[in-house]
Amino acid sequence: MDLSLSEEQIMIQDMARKFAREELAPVAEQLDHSGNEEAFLGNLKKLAELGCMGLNIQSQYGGGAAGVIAFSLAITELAKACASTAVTTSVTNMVAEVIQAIGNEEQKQHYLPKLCSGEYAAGGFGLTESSAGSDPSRMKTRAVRDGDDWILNGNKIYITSGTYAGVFVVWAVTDNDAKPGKGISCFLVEGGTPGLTIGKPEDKMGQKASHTNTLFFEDCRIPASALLGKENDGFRVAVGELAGGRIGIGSLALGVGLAAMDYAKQYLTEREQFGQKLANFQALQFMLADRYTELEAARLLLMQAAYEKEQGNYFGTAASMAKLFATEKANDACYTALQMLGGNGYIKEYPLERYARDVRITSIYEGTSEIQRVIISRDLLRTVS
Amino acid sequence: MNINFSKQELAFQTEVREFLQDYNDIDGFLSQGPVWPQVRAMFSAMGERNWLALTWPEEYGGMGKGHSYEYILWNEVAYARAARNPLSSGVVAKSIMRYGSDEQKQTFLPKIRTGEVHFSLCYSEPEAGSDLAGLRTKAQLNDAGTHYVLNGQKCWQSYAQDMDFLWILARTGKQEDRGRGLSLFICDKQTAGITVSPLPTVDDDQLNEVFFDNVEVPVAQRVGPENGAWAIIGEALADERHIQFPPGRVRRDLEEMVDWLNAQGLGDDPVIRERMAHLVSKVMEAEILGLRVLEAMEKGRNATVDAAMNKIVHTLTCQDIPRMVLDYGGPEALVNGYRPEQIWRQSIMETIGGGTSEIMRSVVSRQALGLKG
Repeated sequence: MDLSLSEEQIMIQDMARKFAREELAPVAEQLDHSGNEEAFLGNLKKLAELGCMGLNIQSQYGGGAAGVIAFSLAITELAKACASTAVTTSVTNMVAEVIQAIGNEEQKQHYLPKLCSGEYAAGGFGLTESSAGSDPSRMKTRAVRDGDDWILNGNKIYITSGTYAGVFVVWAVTDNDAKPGKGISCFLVEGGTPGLTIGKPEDKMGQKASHTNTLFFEDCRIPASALLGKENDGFRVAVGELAGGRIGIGSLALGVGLAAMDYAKQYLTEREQFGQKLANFQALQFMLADRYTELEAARLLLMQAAYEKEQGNYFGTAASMAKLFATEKANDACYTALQMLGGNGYIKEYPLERYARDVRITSIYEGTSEIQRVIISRDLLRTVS
Repeated sequence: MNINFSKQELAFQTEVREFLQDYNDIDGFLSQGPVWPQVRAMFSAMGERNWLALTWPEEYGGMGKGHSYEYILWNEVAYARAARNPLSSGVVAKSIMRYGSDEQKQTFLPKIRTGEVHFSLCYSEPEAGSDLAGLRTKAQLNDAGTHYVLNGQKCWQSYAQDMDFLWILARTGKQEDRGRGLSLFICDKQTAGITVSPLPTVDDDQLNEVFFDNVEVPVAQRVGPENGAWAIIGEALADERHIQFPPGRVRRDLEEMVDWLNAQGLGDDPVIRERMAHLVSKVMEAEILGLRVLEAMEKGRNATVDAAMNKIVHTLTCQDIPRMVLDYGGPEALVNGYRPEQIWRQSIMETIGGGTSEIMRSVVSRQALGLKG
């Protein structure tokens, strides 16, 4: 058994860490407050140039072919500085992976270089609907065949990067008579396609710099070649890709949690009350020990899930366990760290309140904690004869 | 044992509820700054009924009632989300009655009673949060002996942007004298050398920093003896324990969250129902601990430990309720301005301000359990 990272993985981790420190950290607070879109998109472009938008994409399509572990490491490092940038990067990687996994050669050659190179600022993952959040099989968006084209009608909500994604992977019902989940297909819809309208960004609690939009499809006509994978086989793909996305979101949460605790740890060694450093108070020492232990366990669960995926093994349960644990413990870490800073934790002059807001969504999107528990327990009970 | 209010107290509760009909939509409890003019108007209307002086002795124009009346008033106001109890008619007025000069009593008590003037407490400093006795803002008597000259910085002051006067704790003795070297001052906020600067907070409200740059405060505006402030602020704190964390707030949180979950169609989810049942018991715990603080005060018992336990349970419940809703409410619960996410952000403050949970736990372990240290 060898838990150490490869040279390439360490190199990618270092590169992401350096970029996060030098480029993201200085602007993260400003992005949170003002949503400076130009700076945000500029950083996405630079990340693409560094190879971070297709970390697990084969090199012939412009990807880094660095693997899932490297992807997880990079997202954690980016999230330490700016969760909004990290989530956009994670989702774009996921979109690229869907195309790589089920796209035909023409689709891969057309879209993957654009996503990996930054020609597209981001990719969008169009699954969630207002009445189909935790249960996407109940989606209402329809795609109807019309000659050589498909016509899309329906809405998708809470879509990351809606404003600036160059291409969306969109799921829609193509067989009205099939059971839920059985008649869904997957399509590629380019940003700017007539009939696709992007709603204004949601005003969110956290991860404010990343745009989250509603997509409105009104008789949106796309060519037959936009079908991604097999007709009526889209739901299986969505479920599979969400499992990969969970590694990304768990890694992101880990980064935010570590950033919060690292800040609080430093603060404890500097601030004095009652004539001594806060770090001398055992109650605070134990809080520190507990949170770091939990975050380290989260890291190992994420590495385990990433390893299984990289090996081509079934990794759904491992990804759910890692996402559940990492996001919940990262939430705890952010609240603890904020509490350790006292009044300074609550004011916007310090980053702790941003970490706490940014981390909150992580146990909700990409499958809530409750959905992860459903997946884990279902897999566990399935093995009982 | 009887935990019910008397007929007279219940009649007063009814009167308060009727009064609040006109103020139910102020929404100044969770975030007072943006609606201060409305809150101020409500305090004035309370002043007309003499409700800001419920427990004051009659010689100061008060109603001479027991603590239970204050508890009922501010608990109902908290439940109505209208406002928090003003510090002027509590900490400030009660300290002036006990330690103030005749001139201070004549100048301030009538105006506080009617809701005409309001105070901001200036205690905490950047380096003196939990360790208040370590504060450094200096008040130095001038050579003529007529004025104190204040220099220093205060931090995390609630509502200072809107208040008329500052109630300032400053060092008149040596740093090493800690709590024994502090004095209290009243100062008009408009006095030259005072700067109030906003500290935006996670709930889109604000705290403040208050800077003192050679601020001249007449000796006549010192409250109580020089270097004698520690006992004054301790007694003032003790006077207010029954109304600091009124359980009406968490009861209302719970009800709003239940309404929200039902509106989202989540009310029949068994996991949510189980969590809600747990929260109901937490709210009841906060209610009973709130009453226990009141009972201690009414019987003249030291309520320090009861108040610390109440604060721990009350403020964690404040956080548990919205956190539970966000766990199950999906992304809708995270869109800005929705009640669950607003309360989630606001509640972060509750385990920090007014004595952190960690300080409260040390009070309980030391004073209730006798653990040394």
